[in-house]
Formats: sequence, structure tokens, C-alpha cells
Amino acid sequence: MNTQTPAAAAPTGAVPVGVSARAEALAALEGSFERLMQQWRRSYLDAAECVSPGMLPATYKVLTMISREGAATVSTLAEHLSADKGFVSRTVSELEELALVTRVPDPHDGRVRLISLTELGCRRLHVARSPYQHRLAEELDSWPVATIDRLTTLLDALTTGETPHP
Amino acid sequence: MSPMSTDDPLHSPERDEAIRAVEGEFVQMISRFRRMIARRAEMLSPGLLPGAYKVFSTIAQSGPLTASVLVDQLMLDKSQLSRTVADLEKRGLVERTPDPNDRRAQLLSATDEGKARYDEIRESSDSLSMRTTLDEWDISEIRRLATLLHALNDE
Repeated sequence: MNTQTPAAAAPTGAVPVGVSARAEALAALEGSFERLMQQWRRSYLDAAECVSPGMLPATYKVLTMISREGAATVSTLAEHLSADKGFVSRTVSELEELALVTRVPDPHDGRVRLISLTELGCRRLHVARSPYQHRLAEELDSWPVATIDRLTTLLDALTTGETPHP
Repeated sequence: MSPMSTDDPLHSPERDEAIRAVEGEFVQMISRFRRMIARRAEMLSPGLLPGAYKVFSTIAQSGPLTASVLVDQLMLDKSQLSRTVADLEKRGLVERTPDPNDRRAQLLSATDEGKARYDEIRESSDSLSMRTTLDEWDISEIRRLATLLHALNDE
């Protein structure tokens, strides 16, 4: 649980701006992003491990894509994952062996088979995801709304390439 | 405006809305990052998949290294990695040399051509966009964002 309130550590008033101060601020920001990415990666590993011990993150990614699509062909999955079709096909077989997914004939075209989650697959994925589903909301629980809004503004400025106004 | 003095009830519609907005920003950032990797893969070699770009950039940054180190580092399966390396080799981006410490193992490294293209990509405007954007920011805003993200990271 996050006990630190971000506003307490935020700088107030005018700050002397030097080249090294700016470089330090940039390095701190990059460090924050890096840690955030590491944390996401870790949650991904934990979720994969929770679905099935020893499952690789890439396999977990295919599973979540199947869940998102509902029912899809190997080609569609490969396209949406920007992955190799052979790899997706082997991963689907692996998931099928674990009884997490199943192949059913396409009702519109009997020659085509669609891949979807089994009940077990749905359940396991739900359990694996639940610790992370409300994670952000929990982290932000102790933040005042105005501070959350500020974070949104700054992130938005960063992705759109704009300059935020204080 | 002091954010500390804002006293709002938990789980108000306003709070839910604010949290959804942060989530939306992160989703946007991740998809932007994904598109950037896809663009870089295409720049490196037309038709190259994003997954192969990650393998290549790891070899270019930390190579020469063995396939087993790569497997551990990128958490891929062995056969998937060897197909990817074969593809990168065919494209002239990666080469294998015998490992002086272990005759049975081979070291993977970026070719001169691969290194040159990788440097070119890293110097392209695409990679510099975050720094360029931040050039215009007031230092207090940079610090503020770093502090907010840092607080978000704390467990």
C-alpha cells in the first residue's frame, strides 16, 4: 500500500534552473518510467506463472489476446499480435494441451476453426488478473483528485508533445 | 492550489473519473510505445516483426552473447529464439562466432551493417521525441511528473 502522498514531496515555488539541475530532473523522470515498466513486466511474469507454473510471458500474451478476441483464427491472432504464425499455432497447441483454450468450427465456414477460451481458461485468467485489475485505483486511493488530474495532464502533455501550463 | 488541502470523499464519481483518465493515459502510452517498436522494426529491415527487433536490440546493446543468455534474459522459448536469430542472420543483421570459452557454444553479435542501422534508428527523431518534448517544459513540471510516477511505483 502506498503511504507516501506525492504532493508532500513535490517541489514548491521557484527552483533555480541550471544545466545540471535539468539533467538531474530528466534522469529522475527516466528512472521513474523505467521502474514503472519493470513493475509492469513483473506483473506480467506473475500473471503468467499464476495461470500455469512455468508459462512464458509470450504464451500468456497469446492467451490474453484470445480472451480479447473472444473467438479467432490463428491468422487473426498472429496479425493482432504482430507475431509469427508458426509461433502462434504452436502456442495455441500448448494452451490446448493445458485445456485453457479449445478449437471450434466457425459457424459461418465449417473449414475454418476458431480458438476460444475454455471455462478453465476464463477462470484461470480471471484469477491471474485480479491482483492487477484494481491496482492503479488502489495506488491512487490516498491521492487528492486534483493531484490525479495533474498526473493526467502531465502524461497527456508528454504523449501529445505539448508543453504543460502550471 | 494546494492538492493537499483537497478533501474529497473516496469513490466519488469525480475520483473514479480521474482514475479512469490516468488509466487511459497509460493505455495510450503503451500503444504508442508498441507502435514505435513496430516502426523501428520496419526501419531496421522491412517486414521484420517487433519481437525480432527486441532480440536484435538486445544483441546490439549487450552482445556478443550466447543464445542461452538471450533465452533467459528475454524469457523466450529456445526454438522460437533460434528461428528469430536465423531470420536476423539471413537479413545480414546478426552473425555467429565460436565462443572462445566454450567450443560447443556460439556467440551472437550485430554485424557492422546491423550496428550502423541500429545507430541510425536511435538517432532518428522518433527516438528523441520524449527529450525534445521535455526541452520545452519548465523544470518544476519535469520534477513534478517524476515525483508523481515515483509515488505510483511505491509499494
